[in-house]
Amino acid sequence: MRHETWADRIYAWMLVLYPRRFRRQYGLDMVEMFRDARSDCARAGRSTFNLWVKTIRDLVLNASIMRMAPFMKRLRGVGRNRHVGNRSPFDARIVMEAMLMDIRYALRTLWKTKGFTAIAVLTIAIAIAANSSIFSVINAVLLRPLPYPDADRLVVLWTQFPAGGTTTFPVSQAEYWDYREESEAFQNMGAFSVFTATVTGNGNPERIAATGASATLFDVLGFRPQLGRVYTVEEDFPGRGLVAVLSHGFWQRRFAGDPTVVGRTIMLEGVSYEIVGVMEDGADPPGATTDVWLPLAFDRSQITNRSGHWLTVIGRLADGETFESAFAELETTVVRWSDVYAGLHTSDPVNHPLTLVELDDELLGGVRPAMAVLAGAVGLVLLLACANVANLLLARGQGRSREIGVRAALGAGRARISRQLLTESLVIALLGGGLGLAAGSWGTALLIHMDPTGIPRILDVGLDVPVVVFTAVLTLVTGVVFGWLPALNASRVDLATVLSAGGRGDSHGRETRRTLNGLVVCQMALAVVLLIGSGLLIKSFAVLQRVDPGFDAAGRVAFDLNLPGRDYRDLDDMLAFYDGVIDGVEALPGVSSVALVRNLPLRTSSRQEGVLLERKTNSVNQGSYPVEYQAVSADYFATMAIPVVRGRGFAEMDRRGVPTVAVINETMARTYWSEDEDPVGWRLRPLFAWRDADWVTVVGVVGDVRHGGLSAVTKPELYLSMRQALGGIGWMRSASIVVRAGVHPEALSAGIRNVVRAADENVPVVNFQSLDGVVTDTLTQQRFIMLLLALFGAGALAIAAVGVYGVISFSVARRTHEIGIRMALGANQGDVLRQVVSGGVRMAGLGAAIGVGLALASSRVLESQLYGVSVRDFYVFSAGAGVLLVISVVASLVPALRASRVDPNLSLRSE
Amino acid sequence: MTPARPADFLPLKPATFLVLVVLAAQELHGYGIKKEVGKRSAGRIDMEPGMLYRLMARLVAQGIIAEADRRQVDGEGDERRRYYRITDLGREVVEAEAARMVHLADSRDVRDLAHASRS
Repeated sequence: MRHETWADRIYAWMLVLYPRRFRRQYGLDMVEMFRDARSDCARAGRSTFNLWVKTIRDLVLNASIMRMAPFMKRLRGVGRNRHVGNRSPFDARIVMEAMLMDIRYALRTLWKTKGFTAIAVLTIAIAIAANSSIFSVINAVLLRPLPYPDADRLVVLWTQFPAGGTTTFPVSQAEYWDYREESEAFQNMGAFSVFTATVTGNGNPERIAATGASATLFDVLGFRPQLGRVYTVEEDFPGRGLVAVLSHGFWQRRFAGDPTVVGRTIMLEGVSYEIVGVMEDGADPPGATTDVWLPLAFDRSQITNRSGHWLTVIGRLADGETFESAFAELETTVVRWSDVYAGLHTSDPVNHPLTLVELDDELLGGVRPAMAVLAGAVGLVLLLACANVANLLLARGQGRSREIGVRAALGAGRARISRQLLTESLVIALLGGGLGLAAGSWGTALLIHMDPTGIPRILDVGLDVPVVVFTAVLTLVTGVVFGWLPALNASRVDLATVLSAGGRGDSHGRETRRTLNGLVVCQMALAVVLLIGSGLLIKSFAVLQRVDPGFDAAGRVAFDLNLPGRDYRDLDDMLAFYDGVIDGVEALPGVSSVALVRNLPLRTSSRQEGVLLERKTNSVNQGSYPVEYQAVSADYFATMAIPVVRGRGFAEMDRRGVPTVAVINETMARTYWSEDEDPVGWRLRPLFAWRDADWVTVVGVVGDVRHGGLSAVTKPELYLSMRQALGGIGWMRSASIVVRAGVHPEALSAGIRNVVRAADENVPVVNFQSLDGVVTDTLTQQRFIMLLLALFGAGALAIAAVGVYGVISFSVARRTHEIGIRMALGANQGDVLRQVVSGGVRMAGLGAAIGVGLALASSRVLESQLYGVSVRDFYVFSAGAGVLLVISVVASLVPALRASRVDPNLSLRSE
Repeated sequence: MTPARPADFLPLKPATFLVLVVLAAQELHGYGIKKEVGKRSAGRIDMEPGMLYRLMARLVAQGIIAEADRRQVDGEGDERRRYYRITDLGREVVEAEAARMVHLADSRDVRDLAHASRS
């Protein structure tokens, strides 16, 4: 027997949307089915986010169809009846007329109470606007299908290095080719890798994004050329592949959309390629953009090594295959390979497995938790707004009980009165919804303006049909949600009481007051949940900002250099250039030290490769230990203030011709050596050096640098001297220069540009930025989510405060008479004040308690967004509850003061 | 009321057709039907609970399928699960639909069109 979980219970609860008979008959089976789907997700290790989206869409769609069915039948029946000349009680015309009458009447009453209407409409508008803008983002980023035909059949292949904590890493050529040949689960498979290249000839030299892609990739992704053709499988081979396909954007930009471009040539890295085609607009490699497509052009028969991981591989599932069946096939493939290719750095199930990820999970999986948090938060804001407006309506309904009583006395039935009141709610909702949609599109623009880099497809966000439909449906639902309780309540009038007691129906009044108080407590609880949520994010952000990146960012700037391959053919050329730049910048006034680093921490992602460790290599894991691989100049550690913990850093003597040395970070020392071993003096051999490189000796250990992000886990990192760099000549063509200076970074900009121009006028200075800026940029997404949630929290607090204020004022106004009598009997101002405020505080206390409980139950959804803060952080929880209590004291103080100034004479005489 | 004739129900929507095809082969519960239909349509028809049970309710009302007496197949099965079977009428309906589709597809030009879309 499986356990009933929260998720099942939530789904079961949502089934109330279906008609009761259907629910009774099938509800249990539907829950069962949902549970099966959930456990299948769990078994496949997939997130249930998509399942929830699909299930909710299914629920809303089918429930509304079923709810509408009788109505539609009736409408059809009406048409038939009229045809026969029969007059049915459901004549559409009568229904319409009554509805119009209700709407006219609603508009008139709302116009009479402009203040009330304005507050209600504004509250709803703000909440709808927030929901509408967040939905715009979710719609564009998550719900809109990926721009590939049948995108749900696309799967990404990654390799993994569990020892180094790497779960998705590019695939090697041999792995890609063999898997493509052997797999039967895929209809076709393609590979690509994005890099930068310099384009020369006809126009200024320019750095562009190029994608090396197998000819099969176009078929897999369903891309078609707009002009000419794509290259063929035959051209995707060494020696035959000097052909290029331009992207639509690049064609427009550099060739002004010239239709005769096909057949001409383009110079990339000094090599001439024939342009065979122009790609259609919007055709980009998944997760990247490109200006030009080039063949990968490799020959499997020439590749003996299974190392060198740099390809992203995408496959399209064959008909009849599923993700699960492909995964099962892959697992057996890896087991077979570990046997066949033993000793060749082969994939194996334990140390070097391969894995599959569905393309939409790959591209969007990272932002789903954040989006879920935001959706939850705006949902709470909307609930809060509903509770608030329901309160206002209830309070107003009290004041109108006389009017309603009169209407009832004149013969209006309960249903008729409820419908009238519900119409008023719907009119308020529609006004608020319209305003909200407008404000929402403005809010969406603001969201994009906040520029949350790292959220894919954020630029596609905008107002479109799904957003408008969502907002419209949400508006109607909102109207019903906040309208039904007041409508029901007000229509339940007791004629005798209302008409005789001078409009102050008492027993009924008490019940309404209880409902009012209950709603305020709900608002408080929701506000506390939002306050705690935003509090956790704010605290997490503060912790993140204090995280030591492992280097000193203050007073340092960095910029990137990319050398054109045509002019820099070997390492000596490059070193000569880099030395010239380093010496030149060092001579600038105010500069204290300059260093080079291949991959700037927090900006350029590291290259990951395997190394063999002397004396640790054995046949079981083939000795392959994954490391992040870096090359730096001798002054790098000093310039960045990265401490040398053991041994030494690099020196000028570590150059070509003398034995190669390496420096490792503390994580690598800790991960691959035991505590009583000193890694200094050990030797290792990088697998990425295709030459028969000598063993490399570890000479020092340095402090960890958080290369992948402030909240990322530090991985084993291996530094080599840039003068002894291994791993491909082209690799050192890109590097960052770090400058430590006592002067303002901007003041250095011009001097640095001059130095670089003097060294080579074809090399531009790019990404010039202070290291502080580099660090801050990594927090953009966290800041985005934190700011939004803080905004929602503040809004929630404001709405809740208005709620308390409204309810206390209302009760004070109703109790003027009673307070007058008390004061006439000797109660002093302090007593009255205390009594009124304590009423507010009691509600706030209850609300805060419920809110804390709700937050405890639900804050786990924030887990993925938090760093260094427990989801049950005591201080944040207390602060959330505390803020609410303080605000509610303040909010009830105003009406309390008014009450304490009641003049007994006046209040008693008003009878 | 005259008894329903199979032809009255044609043509069937793709999802309905696949559900009947699946049930013609074996008695199944809701999630089983969803999975089988998903498999047969290469994942293109994904039936969520609401869509599925709304369809089940309609098909039961039309007498095309019925609840099976059996509620448990093996140790793993949950006795709360409802199993469905196809009725005689349902079998006639799905057979008629299958015949209609085969008849439609059984010409050279249709096969050529299908071939063109695949290549």
